[in-house]
Amino acid sequence: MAEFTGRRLPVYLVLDCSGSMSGEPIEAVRQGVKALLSDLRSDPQALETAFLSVITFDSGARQVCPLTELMAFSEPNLDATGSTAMGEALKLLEQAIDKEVKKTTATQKGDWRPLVFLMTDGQPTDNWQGPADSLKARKLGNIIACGAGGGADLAPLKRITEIVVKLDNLQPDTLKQFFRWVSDSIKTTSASVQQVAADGPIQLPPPPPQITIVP
Amino acid sequence: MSSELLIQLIRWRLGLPFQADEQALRQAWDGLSETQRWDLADSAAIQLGQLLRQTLTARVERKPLPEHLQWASGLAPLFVSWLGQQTAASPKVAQQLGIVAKRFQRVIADPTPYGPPISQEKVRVGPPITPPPSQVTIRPQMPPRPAISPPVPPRAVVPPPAPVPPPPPPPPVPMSPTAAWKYIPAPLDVPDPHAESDAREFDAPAGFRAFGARVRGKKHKHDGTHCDDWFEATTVNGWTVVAVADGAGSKKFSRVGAKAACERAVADLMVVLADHTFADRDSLSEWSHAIALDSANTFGGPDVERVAEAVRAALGSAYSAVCEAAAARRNGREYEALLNRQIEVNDLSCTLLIAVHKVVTLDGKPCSFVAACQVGDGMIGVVHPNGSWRVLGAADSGGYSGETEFVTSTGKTDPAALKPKSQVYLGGLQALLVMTDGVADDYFPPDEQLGRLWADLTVNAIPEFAAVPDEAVTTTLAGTNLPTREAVAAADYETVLEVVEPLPRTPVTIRSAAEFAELLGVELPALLRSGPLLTAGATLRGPGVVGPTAAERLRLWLDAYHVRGSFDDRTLVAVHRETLPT
Repeated sequence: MAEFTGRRLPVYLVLDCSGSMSGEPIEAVRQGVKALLSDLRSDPQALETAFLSVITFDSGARQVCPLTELMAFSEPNLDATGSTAMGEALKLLEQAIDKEVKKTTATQKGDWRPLVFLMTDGQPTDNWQGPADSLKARKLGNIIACGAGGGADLAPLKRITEIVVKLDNLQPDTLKQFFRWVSDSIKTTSASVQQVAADGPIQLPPPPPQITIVP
Repeated sequence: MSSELLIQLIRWRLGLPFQADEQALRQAWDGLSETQRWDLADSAAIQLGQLLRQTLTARVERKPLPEHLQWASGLAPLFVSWLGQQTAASPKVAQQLGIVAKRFQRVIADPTPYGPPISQEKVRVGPPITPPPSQVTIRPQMPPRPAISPPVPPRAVVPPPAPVPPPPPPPPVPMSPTAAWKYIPAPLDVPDPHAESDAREFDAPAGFRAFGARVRGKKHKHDGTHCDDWFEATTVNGWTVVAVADGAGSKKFSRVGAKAACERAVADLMVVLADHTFADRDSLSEWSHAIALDSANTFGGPDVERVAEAVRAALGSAYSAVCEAAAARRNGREYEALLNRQIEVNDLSCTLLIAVHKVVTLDGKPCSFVAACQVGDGMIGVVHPNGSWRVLGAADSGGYSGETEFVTSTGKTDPAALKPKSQVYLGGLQALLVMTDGVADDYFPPDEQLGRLWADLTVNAIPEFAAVPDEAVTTTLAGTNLPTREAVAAADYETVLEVVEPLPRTPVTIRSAAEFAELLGVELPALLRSGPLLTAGATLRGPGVVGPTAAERLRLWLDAYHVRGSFDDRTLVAVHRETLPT
C-alpha cells in the first residue's frame, strides 16, 4: 500500500501490566484491545486516519507496538508481572510522540494532536513526578488517564492531565466497557478532527456507568 | 411465510411484475388474517417510502436510476393512487408516507419517465391505472383502523397474467477502499436543503471554456448531512467570473452562507466588470508597470487596481450577504429547533475564493489577465501552456490542525485586511483553477502539485479539447519510453474505484498523470506542455471518465477518486483554453 501522506490521528495506549493485573484483569485487557481493534476497523474514518501504538509498563516500560495503521496492526502479547514504573512509561511516551508524530511544515501535512489513553490499577513505584510534569508542560496531546479499581492512586494521574476517569473495579465487564468507550472516543475524535482547534478541548462521548469522571 | 414470498405477494397486490405461482399467492393472501394483511401493508409502505425516497434523490441529483430501482420509476402514480385510497392508514405509516408523498407530487406532475423506459412487453400490469390529479394532498389521518376493508380493492389492481423474471442481482463487488463508507442521502426534511451535487459549464470569451462541479464528501454521505460547498461562475463583457465557497464543517447552516456568498460576489462583480475597460496598452513595459505594486500595495495601473478593488469589495459584500441570510432566518422555528437557540451569522460561516479572467493584448498577441483573492483555505492557481504553473495567493489557515479563517471571522473582509492579499497574473493561460480544500488538500503542497491536478483532469479526458492530429501523437510518442500507440494502450496507469452511492456502486476508472508521466519517462511539466502526449494519455486507453459533458465528467471524477484520509466536500471550477499546447 502506498505510504499515507495525509494527516493521521495518532493514538497511544499506555497500559499498566504490573503483577496486580495478573489473571482476569490482564485477560480482560487483552480482550479489550482486540475488541477495540475490531470496532475501529469497521469505522471508515478511523480506518483511514487512526494509527495505534501500545506502551506497556511493569518493572520497566516498553513500546510493544510502534505507531501503526489499523489494517497492519497486530495485537501485542500482554503479560502481567512486576511493579509499576509509570514514570518510565511517561518518558517513553514523550519520546515516542517526538519521534513518531509528524509536525506541520510548508511541505508536509502534520498529524492531528495525539490521543493518549493511560490506564493503571495502582500507584507508581518509580520517579514519576518529573516525567509527569514534563508531559503536562509540553502539551503534546490529549491525555485521558484512567484509574482502575480501588487500589488506583488518582493523584499522579491528576498531575499529568485534567481528564481523569475512574473505573469501579477490574472486572472483565468493566474493562470491556472501558475499551468500548476508548474506541468510541477515537471514532468521535477522528470524525471531528477538522473542527477541533489546535488547543481546543476535545469532545468525548459520555462514559458508561462503570466509568466516573474525576472532577 | 418466507420473506421472498412476502415480497412477491406485495408485488402481486400492487400490480407489479412478480415471480411466483399466482395460485400460491392467492392462497397465501386468503390465508392471512386481517391483522396480518394490515401488518404487511404497513411494512410494505415503510419499505416503499424508503425506496421511493432514493428514487427521488436520484432524480434530484440527475443521476440515472440504479438498475434495481428501475421498477420504481413507474410506480409513482400507482403509489399516490394507492395512498389516496388509504383512508385509514395507521398514523405512523400515514405520517411517513405523507412526507414522501409530498415530494412525489412534483414527480407525478412531470410524466416524463426518468431513465430508459421499461419496454411494455416486459411489464404487464393489467388495465391501465389513471394517475390521480397532480394536486393530491395527503393528510395524515388519525382514525382507528376500520373493522373490515382491505387496503386495496382487488379489482383496481389486476396482477399480470405471466410472471416476469426479476432483474439479475448485481455482481459481487470486490472489497474497495470505499467499501466501509455508507451512503445516506442528504436530508430533504430540513430547512434549506441543497442538491447533493452540481455540475455546470459554458463557453467563455476568446476561445476559452469553463466548467465546474461540486460533490458531497464521503463524510457527509456517511453521516447523512448536506454538502457545504457551493460555486457560481458566469461571463460578462469579456470577463469570466468565478466564486467558490466552503461552509464550515462544524456549522449546521454553513451551506446557506456558502451559497449566499457566491451568489452575491458574482452578482456584484458582474455589475462592476460590465462597465470596466482596460487602458489601451500593448507593450510589455506598459503592462509590467500596470501590474506592479507600489509600497501601499496598490497596482500601478488604475484600471488594474479597479479590478483588484472590485474583487475585494465582492468579498466584503459576500459577507454582508451571509449576514442578511442569517437575519432572514432569525425567528425561524425550524432553525431554532435544530440549534436550540436563535440562528446567528457564525452558523453560516464559510470560506470564499474569487477569480476573474479576461483576455487582453500584449505585444499584439492575446494574453490572459487574472485577478484573484481568497478568505480561508482552498486554492486558486494558473497553469501555463509551457507546462509551468503558479498558485495565486495562499490558504488562510491556523497553523497546527487546519483551523481556517472564514468570511465571517472578525475583520477578515475589511478592505485594509484584504489589500495585501490581492493577486494579479498576466501571461499565458492553459487553465485557471479555483477549488475548495477538499481538492486542494489532495494536491499538497500546492506549489509543487497544482500542475499534477490539471494533468490528472486532462489524462482522465475530463476537459474537452480541439483534436490533436494523429501524426503529431505518433511522432511525439516515438521519443518516449512508450514509443507506440499500442504501448500506451497496454500501459498501466489506471485504478478502478467506486463512487459512494446507493447500491450497486458503479466502477469508475481513474487515471494517474504522475504514473503516466513516469511510464513515458518524462517530467510532469514536459507532459503538461505536450498536447500530443496529453492526448495519448487521455484517449489511447479508452474513453477515461465517462460523461456527456466536461462538467459531468468532472462531477464523476470528484466523486470517484479516492485519497486516503480525504473525506471533505470537493468543488472545482476550471477555465481553460479550447486547444491543447502544441
